[in-house]
Amino acid sequence: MTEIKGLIYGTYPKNDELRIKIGRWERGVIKGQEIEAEISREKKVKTELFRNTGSDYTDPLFNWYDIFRPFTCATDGIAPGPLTRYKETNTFYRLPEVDHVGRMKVNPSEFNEIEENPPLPLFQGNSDPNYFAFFPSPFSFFKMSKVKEEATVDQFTKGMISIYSDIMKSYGFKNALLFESLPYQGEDLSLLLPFIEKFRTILVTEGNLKFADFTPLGKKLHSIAVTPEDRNMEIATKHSSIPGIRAIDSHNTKIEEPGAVKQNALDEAEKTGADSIYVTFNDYLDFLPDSIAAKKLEMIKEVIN
Amino acid sequence: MPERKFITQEIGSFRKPDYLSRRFHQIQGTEEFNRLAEKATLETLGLFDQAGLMNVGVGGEMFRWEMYEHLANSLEGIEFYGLVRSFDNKYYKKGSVVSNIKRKSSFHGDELKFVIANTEKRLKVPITGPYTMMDWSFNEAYKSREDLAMAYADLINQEIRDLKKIWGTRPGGEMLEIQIDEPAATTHPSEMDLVVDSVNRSIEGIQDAEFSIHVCYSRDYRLLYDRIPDLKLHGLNLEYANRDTMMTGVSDEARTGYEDIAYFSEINEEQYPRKFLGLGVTDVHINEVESVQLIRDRIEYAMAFIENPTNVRINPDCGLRTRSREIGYQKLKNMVEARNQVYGEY
Repeated sequence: MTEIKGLIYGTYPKNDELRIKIGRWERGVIKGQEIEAEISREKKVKTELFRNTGSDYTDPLFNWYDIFRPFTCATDGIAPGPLTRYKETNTFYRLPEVDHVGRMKVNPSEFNEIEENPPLPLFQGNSDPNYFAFFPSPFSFFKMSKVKEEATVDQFTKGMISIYSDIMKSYGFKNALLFESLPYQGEDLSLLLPFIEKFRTILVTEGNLKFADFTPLGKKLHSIAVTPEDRNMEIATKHSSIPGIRAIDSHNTKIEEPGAVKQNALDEAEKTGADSIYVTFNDYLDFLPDSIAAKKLEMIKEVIN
Repeated sequence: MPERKFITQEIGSFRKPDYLSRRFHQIQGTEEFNRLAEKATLETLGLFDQAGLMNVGVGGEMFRWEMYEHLANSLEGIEFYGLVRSFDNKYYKKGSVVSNIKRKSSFHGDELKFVIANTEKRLKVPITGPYTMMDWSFNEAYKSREDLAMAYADLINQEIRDLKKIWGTRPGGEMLEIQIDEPAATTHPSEMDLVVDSVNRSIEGIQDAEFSIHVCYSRDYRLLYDRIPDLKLHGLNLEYANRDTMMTGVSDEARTGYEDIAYFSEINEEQYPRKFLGLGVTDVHINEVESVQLIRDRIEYAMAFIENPTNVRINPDCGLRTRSREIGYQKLKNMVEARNQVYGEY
């Protein structure tokens, strides 16, 4: 019997109330401590909602203005540049301008006010075994930044992995999710080893994967979530304990039929002989109105139960 | 003979007065809304006139909240489920196309009637283009992005035909000017055929009107320039100042934002008649008001490639709704002054 598991990750849409409160904080009407408390309260509500679907999940990241922003604004050697289109969407992020990767300027696990982003902490503490700490993969982070010529992807990746590891330790987290926004272009995935050896890691990937990219890893990840194509699934099955499919559209308000999603997952698992499989989204849910994101969560709950 | 050299124009939107913006959604569709939108339009036409603009558009789009939402609200087949994040804590309404789309009413007929009755100046009606409407909608109903873009194009074609009826025949034979707004045009490089086909469908079979396209903040205008021969348009109104430096002078180093124009001109030289280029010379995302000298330098740099001043129009990068009315006015005033200074040289 194949087990279907759900996975909810990344920045989640805010409801109107929180959006308005953050607007008031932006205008200086309410203070940093107060907005942090509001964000924290709303994070608890959504975390409970995620948990109730029976899925594995990350923090809803309501205080991340984009998936790189807290690192862009609070890391020595990185600064926020102009607004830049996020892939081919109508959503924009501040282009990280990278001189080098130093240390984080503040303790990211405590309340701290930083420029150009709501206050930290990055995450809420969470000891649930189904909780995974979200991080943008250093490879996509690098490619989606403006980087000084002498800075290399290897240096950048090592620097970010070191920061991510410190954050994991400071929270006492055991599980992490690395989110890849862009396809690989021959990067050396073994640079992730110091991280994935220490933490149970889900890698959410983009595009068509190549065996050659994953061979140097030498260690199985907890999961590799892929665009459901035959070769991607073979790689995900070979190099992770539980392959995952990015089968739910977070760029369209149409709610998928749960039976069809379930069957798709079962078919993919059967093809590769996997006895369990993750079903997840093709991107984080922040591209949707919050009312639709909630319906997509209901749908994933039906798929896995 | 109306002036053809260096026509100054705005792109579309201008900041609404508080009395309109604060109550816009509460009163939309009422008599009071019409009264306030008309008042704001008159005031904005007055500002444009005072700044010396030659083409006053539709008076700053006071009847419209925002370029996507206004058109989507005029259609059947679109549902709004809530706001979607654009960046930081900024959100916009992104509609979901849930069934075949149809016009409920004219998008811009009332606005055009009012503006025609209240100015003798040149007008230009901006209409959000079919490709952008498609790209900015969730598609739940149509089989493909192509089908949805072409459905929007058919509706825009109907709209332009209605606007032409309102326009009628103007003294001196002045043509209705339509600007198809396509900020999404180069977002998906693999879909440039669809951009061309849907824009062309929007204006298909409509004679005696002048058509332009407005694109802004493109990562690569060359995608658009390459399709100039296929687009059945008279001109392009584009953003350049945002990507330029604030240094004065006409060197390549100072005018990095305008270096693309050499490529535009290479393509345009093969066209008959040549397309006009609306040069974005003032940045709508900064409060700093560019000096007259800086704007002059931007125009003069571009003129080294374009040569014929009847093929150049002078405009802000995009709608000035992002700036206060005071700053918007100052930017337009300096733009007009710079244009007047270079006028005699060509």
